[in-house]
Amino acid sequence: MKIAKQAAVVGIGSTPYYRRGESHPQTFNEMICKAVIAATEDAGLSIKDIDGFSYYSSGTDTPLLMESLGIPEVRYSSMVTSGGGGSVGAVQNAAMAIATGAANVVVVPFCMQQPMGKRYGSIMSQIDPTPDKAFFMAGGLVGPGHFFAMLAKRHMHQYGTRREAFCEVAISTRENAITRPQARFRTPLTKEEYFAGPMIADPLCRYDFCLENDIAGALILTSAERAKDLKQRPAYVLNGEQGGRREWGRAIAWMNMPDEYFASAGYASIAEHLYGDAGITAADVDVALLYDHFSPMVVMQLEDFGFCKRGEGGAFVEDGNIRFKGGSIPVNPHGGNLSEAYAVGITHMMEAVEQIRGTAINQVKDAEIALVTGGPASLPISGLLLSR
Amino acid sequence: MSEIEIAKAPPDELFQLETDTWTEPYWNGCKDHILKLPKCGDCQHYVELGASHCRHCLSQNIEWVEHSGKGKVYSFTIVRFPVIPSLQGSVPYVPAVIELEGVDGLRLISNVIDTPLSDIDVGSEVCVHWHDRNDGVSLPRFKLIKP
Repeated sequence: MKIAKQAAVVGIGSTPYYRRGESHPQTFNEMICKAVIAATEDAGLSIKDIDGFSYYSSGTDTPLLMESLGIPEVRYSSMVTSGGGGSVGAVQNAAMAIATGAANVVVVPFCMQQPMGKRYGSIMSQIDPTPDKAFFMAGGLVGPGHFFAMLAKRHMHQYGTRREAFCEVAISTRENAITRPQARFRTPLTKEEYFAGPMIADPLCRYDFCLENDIAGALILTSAERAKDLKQRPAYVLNGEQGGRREWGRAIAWMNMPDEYFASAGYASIAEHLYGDAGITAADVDVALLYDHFSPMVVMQLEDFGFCKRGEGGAFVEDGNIRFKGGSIPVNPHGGNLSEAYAVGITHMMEAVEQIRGTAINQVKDAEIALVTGGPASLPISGLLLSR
Repeated sequence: MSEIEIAKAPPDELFQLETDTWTEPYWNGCKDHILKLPKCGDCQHYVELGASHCRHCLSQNIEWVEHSGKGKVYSFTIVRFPVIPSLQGSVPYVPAVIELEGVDGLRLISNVIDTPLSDIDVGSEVCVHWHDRNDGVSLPRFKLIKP
């Protein structure tokens, strides 16, 4: 995508980070409105400046937001298909809309709110049966963890990856969350606690699973030119990529990925395009916000994105390379989905913006380029580069 | 752990079968305890379950060929925690990706059952075992082939 630095994220905002199900009686759209208002205030823009909406993972209804927020006219409204895999693709879409002049100020809003009494972690048991889902439902695959456990197991078999690597992802991410006031988990996690944690779906234990929260967040994007005069230091969209290879395809819902794809996060082609079009390599990335719904998928994304070689992710992580303090590539300094909060990617995007601004709580020194990824999941999956 | 843990199976109530034009022959085969796999009648590649066309030659001449039901565990997990109450009596059970003998590009997601958990590994040789439900649906599950 050749729109480098033509658009920038100029505002971010969110609701408080609630425990799952505890944001009621606020409504879904009410939560989104609060996040959008906060993001426009952060940018120093008027809510009436918004003329574009860019969604992912089911999104919401544009006119409903226009009614509550008094937005006079919409000129762009789109959504990335599929789920959390496409999350940062919504920022790419917003940047493309701005670069082409389709819209001037585009908001990327997202809300996760658990219905009372239902959990995302058992989502597959709540969906209507369909012919394609019969093939995994029959095997008793009820929650996302059941699927990703099989990718992790294969990675261990193929490359000798150890649970110690998954443990290091969990521990280092937790350490980052401790200094974050809004983080849900703020007590240190020890190796002993990790290995004593109950096994949920072997090899995944309790600490390999992300949290479930109620959160709405929003990013506001506008043109690079207009961004210069606003309140915050712009976080320019250096590049974005969404899609992926047929070999990865429906991924966990299908399990037909060839060997080299199965024990991966499916991101190799995304990384190639993302870096290639931006003219950078993994070595140029200062901070990585990697979608960490399950700790092994961080290890596999590190390989896909070229921070280490294929199959060496386990050793790379165990050597301390993803630590905020002293790591060669700090990963999720905000505490990620594993320890800060989970809201299908929006928290990673907001952290990337703060890192580029230089205002993050766990600020990576002189961070100039941030990588943000969507979840390893069914296509489209997505990657984003933000820069100073 | 001294007690030998045996792989159970997920409960029948967990899913209702829905079929369509391109998956019905598979499930009909299951009813007869025959594992039938979709193969392109023109270029002879296996076709993914549910696909309406052969992705190699775009033919819709899909034939359903009988398979022995022998294969290997490509990957697996041991589900130990009942994420929903209906799983309470069913853990531990073992979802597994099965690579079928001689079949390229089409794996089955199923369960390894009635086997000590410690015997199950990636590469374990397995054979199909049919589970008949009360509602007339039959499911292919797998047991370890003892060496």
